[in-house]
Amino acid sequence: MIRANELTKKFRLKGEIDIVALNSVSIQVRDGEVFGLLGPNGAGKTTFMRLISCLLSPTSGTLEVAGFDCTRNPVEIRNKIGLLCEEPGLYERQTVFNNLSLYGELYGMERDEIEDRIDELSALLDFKNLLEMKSGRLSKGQRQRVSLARALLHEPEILLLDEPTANLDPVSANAVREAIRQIQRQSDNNRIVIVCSHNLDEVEKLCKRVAIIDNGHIVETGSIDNLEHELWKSESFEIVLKGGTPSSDFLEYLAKLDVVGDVQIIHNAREEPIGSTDSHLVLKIGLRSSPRSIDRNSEDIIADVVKLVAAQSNLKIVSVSSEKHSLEDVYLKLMRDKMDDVKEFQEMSAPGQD
Amino acid sequence: MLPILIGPFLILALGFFYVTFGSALQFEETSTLILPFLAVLFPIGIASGIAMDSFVGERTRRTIEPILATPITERALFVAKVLASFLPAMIVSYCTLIAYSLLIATAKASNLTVVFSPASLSIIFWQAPAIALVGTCIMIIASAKIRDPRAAMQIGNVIMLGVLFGFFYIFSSYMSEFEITILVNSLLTVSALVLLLMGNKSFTREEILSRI
Repeated sequence: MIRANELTKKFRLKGEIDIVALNSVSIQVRDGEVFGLLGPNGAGKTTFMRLISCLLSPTSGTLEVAGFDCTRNPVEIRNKIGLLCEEPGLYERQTVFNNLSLYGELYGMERDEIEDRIDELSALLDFKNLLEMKSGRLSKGQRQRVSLARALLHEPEILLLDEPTANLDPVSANAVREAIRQIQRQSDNNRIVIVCSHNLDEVEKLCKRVAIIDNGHIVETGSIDNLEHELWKSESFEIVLKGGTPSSDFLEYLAKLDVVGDVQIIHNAREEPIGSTDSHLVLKIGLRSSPRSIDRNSEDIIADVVKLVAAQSNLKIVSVSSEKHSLEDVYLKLMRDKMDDVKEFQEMSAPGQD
Repeated sequence: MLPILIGPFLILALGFFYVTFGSALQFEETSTLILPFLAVLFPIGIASGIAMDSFVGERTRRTIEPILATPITERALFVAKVLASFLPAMIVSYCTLIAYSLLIATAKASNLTVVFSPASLSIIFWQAPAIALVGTCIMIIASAKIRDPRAAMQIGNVIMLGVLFGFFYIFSSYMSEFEITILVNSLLTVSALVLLLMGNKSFTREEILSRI
């Protein structure tokens, strides 16, 4: 478990005012969780990662990592952490094997243990044939896989991935992502993985929960589904129908269901006269505002409602599509809302400054 | 590595040429000029060069952050960095000095006790390590305090030049004076120890990372 409470980090530059990189950040990451850290450049993501790996000490607040306090037990924490930086940081004149074994020694591993682990990881991450090659001759993707192996060498309880696929081509990036997934599948599911990335699609694919950080503050934390739900309040889905119009009794019946919020016939998809046998129409059904409070996921609920509609003998279902927002939508909406708030605040405070 | 290996032997060859074919200078005088050059210039040049690459280079190549994330203590890392700069410098310097000594011993019959006087021996075995440590520590402190790696290199070079000029100025006229070399050696040793403590103090994870 990682538990940050009112965590603040300030940097003092000579002759300049303090730079607040993190401001009263409180966050919890549970064991076994794959957690995403999102935010624009300079938001404080890397500072947070460096605080977790005890490379920096907090100015105020507390940070507990794997049961240890970061100011009192930094060595114990470093033993439990594997860090993958944006730049692979390999010694280019050394072979891949030597790069990895150096780190094994720094983590206090025995020689045999190091060799076994390198063998295992090179097979898992598919670079066994590169072990004797100088790391300066590797491609970017290969280097990143080697540095991922370096971060995993001592079997850390916490894996910190800072921009794991930055500067990689799509094929290499996908290979690194697949490697991360594979590692998480192979682990005992207790390992915490924190992914810090600008690539929202990547975070969406890898992470269950995310924190959005901006200007040293946590803007929002939660599962991607919950964030989407909080922002758009309710999910809806559309059923394209053919063969007529549902009866008003049936629409009323649907609207009265516990899980359904509202029902609308929004438009005729092919602009044919409603009521004709060839007409297509779209039935937009909004789910109740908190489907997550019910012990069923929204896909199951949608499937049940679709079954009910399909049971109407005069209607034929052409397609069903649910309105789903991506993490990118969530992120952009949150950042836009935040910018609007700042603008509003500036406008309000402007007359007072004159 | 190549300049480090080639440099000493190139100068060695020149020294040998100078000694063998002679000039207006006496053999002993020539040898006593080359000896401090080898004993002092190599340790400070090589040690500060490696130290510069070891600290500033690690930053520019971004290899320092993964190392700092390991459980290694800051002191152990600092000592390892100092030794990694200091030991190769001393090994190369002493190898060159041994080769040079053998050459002057065989090249010409001479009074070697003049060349290897107590003063010159104290330079070889005391002053050379002390000045190598001074060079290493100056580079560590410069690279830890300055954000731009190029600025660190330039400042390190300027400081190193100052050290060398000052040193040769004192040396040139008083080389043979044992008491003076002991005084210079003592001053350099104290400076090396003070700089080691300062370097150790400035070598913290936070200090290093805040300058990346």
